Amino acid sequence: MKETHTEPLRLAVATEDGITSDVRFKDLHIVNIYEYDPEKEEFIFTEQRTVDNKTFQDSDTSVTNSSGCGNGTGNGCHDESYIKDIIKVIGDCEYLLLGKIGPRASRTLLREGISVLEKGGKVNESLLQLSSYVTKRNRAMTKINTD
Amino acid sequence: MSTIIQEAKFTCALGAQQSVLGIPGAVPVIHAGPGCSQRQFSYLSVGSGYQGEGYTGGGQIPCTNSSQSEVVFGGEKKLAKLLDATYKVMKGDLYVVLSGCTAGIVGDDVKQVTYDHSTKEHPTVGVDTSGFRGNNYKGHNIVIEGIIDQLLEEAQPNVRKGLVNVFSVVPFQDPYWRGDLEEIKRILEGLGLEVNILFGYGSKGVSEWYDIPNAELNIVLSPWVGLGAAKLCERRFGTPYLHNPVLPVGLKDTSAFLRKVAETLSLDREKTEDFIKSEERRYKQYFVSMGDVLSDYAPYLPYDLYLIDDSAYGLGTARFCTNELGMIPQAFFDIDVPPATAKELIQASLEEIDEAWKDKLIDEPDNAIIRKAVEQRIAIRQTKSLIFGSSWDKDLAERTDNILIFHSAPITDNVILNKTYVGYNGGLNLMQDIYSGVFNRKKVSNLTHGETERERNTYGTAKTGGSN
Repeated sequence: MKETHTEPLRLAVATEDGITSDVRFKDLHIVNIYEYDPEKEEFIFTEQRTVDNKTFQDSDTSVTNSSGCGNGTGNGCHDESYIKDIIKVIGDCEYLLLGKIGPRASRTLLREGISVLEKGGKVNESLLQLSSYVTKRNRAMTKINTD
Repeated sequence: MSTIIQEAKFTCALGAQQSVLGIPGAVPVIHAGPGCSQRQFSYLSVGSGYQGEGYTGGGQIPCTNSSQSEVVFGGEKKLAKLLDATYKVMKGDLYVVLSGCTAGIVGDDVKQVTYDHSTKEHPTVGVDTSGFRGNNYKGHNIVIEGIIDQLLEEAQPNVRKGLVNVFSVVPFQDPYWRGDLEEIKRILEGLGLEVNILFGYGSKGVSEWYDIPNAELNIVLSPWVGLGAAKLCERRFGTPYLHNPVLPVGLKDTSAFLRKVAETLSLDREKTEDFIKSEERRYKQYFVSMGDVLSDYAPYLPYDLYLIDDSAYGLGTARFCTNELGMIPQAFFDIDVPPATAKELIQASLEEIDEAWKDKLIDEPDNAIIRKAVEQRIAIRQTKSLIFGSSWDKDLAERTDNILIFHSAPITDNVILNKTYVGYNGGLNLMQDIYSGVFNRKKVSNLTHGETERERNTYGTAKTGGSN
């Protein structure tokens, strides 16, 4: 967990319209950042960040490359510089919520401490479910620490 | 309170995926995190005598690979998607969804998902085998009860005379389950019965499970595993059950078991005795042929008996070794963590064999603790011993120079195919392996039966005809 006494738990939501999170990892451009408020037990929107994803090698432009999203190789998105650019922007977040991501990119992000939540649809609904989960998790951790 | 177990002798409840694989034509579908299913396979198939993947086993098992997303948002949708995909690529007569810890913690309702998906073409049942619910003995119970409960939900019994269902050993957890079930089926068929053995190569597969309500009798061959299923059948279909807590091993117990079955079903007495007599005649001929080795090598034969086994196998083997081979009970380490109600039965069944078994039952799933206890006891007794254990105990047997029978999982020193330690043939196999152990040990110690160090130095190992 990245949350400390001074560092709030942050969630990055990949979105185009601010309402849904149906964004594929390779199309990730805008992320809305939310912070968990332990008093209110909910996520609060704090800022919008932009990912410079120009370095991503899209499958259309990397036909000769054996890797890349959607090129049929099954290797998924693992353009390292692209992932690094994203990590630079959301590295302080514990979660990334988005519509679709490949297993390799997901594992790379996890190694950086970012858990990927693969769920499209309405962001508000996902926020409710996630805040419910985080609240229960925090209670459990408190109980474990006090026992 | 949970504790850490070293050298585990079982896996978690999800290990019941192997029980599903034990049913010909059944396909396990795992709703758990990545790696869970693979570990079950590694322990219960590779680690249980290299039994292979089988149909849809090992790396072929469909799995949702639940991740953080499923923890937060639930995994029912992903499971539904996986089931649809599984139907397309895996032909099966029955699909059994087993959920792991992740699904259990977040509360995914696998039973509901499978209920929504189950069709006549793709019958599907769902069970909660979260690892924290217990070990794979418990998981096996959950699976067989789940199948009976859901697959046979609308079944009506049409009792067929002479048909019996057998609930006994846990597939793969018992490394010899294939041979054991074949032997159990063989001896019951010898009485003229039709047998739904339910698992293994001798089973007709899922059709036998559909046939469960039609049985005249359910036979439970274990102190507690399968007992719940028999009780469920009694409630649901009115089928009576015969609970024989001890797996029959050797001549005496197998004959006694067959007579008990015959009496319960009011079978023709003459026919029953004819079969028993012919089996006993064959058995005794083999037994007598072993007389020379028993007399010639008497000083080197093992006498003290240590069992590191589950309750079903352990009780049967304890009876056999005590009653038929005259061994001296030292300890029975019961590793399957039976429920409290079964513990009393196991204790009573053990003491019924011989009063020497009193206070010799130790409920202990940690093999490192067991090994230490056995080694200490052997050091005190200084008597040739026979240890029924697993590959965990190989070093113990070598260090103390005693005979080890690979009897329970994990077994990585032998490839196991068609072998049994149950029934008449199981008794013969056991004798064969026990007394072969005298010659197959690394060396035969002379420090037995009161011989002194001086005598040992004088005779070396020559008395045994050489060490190997």
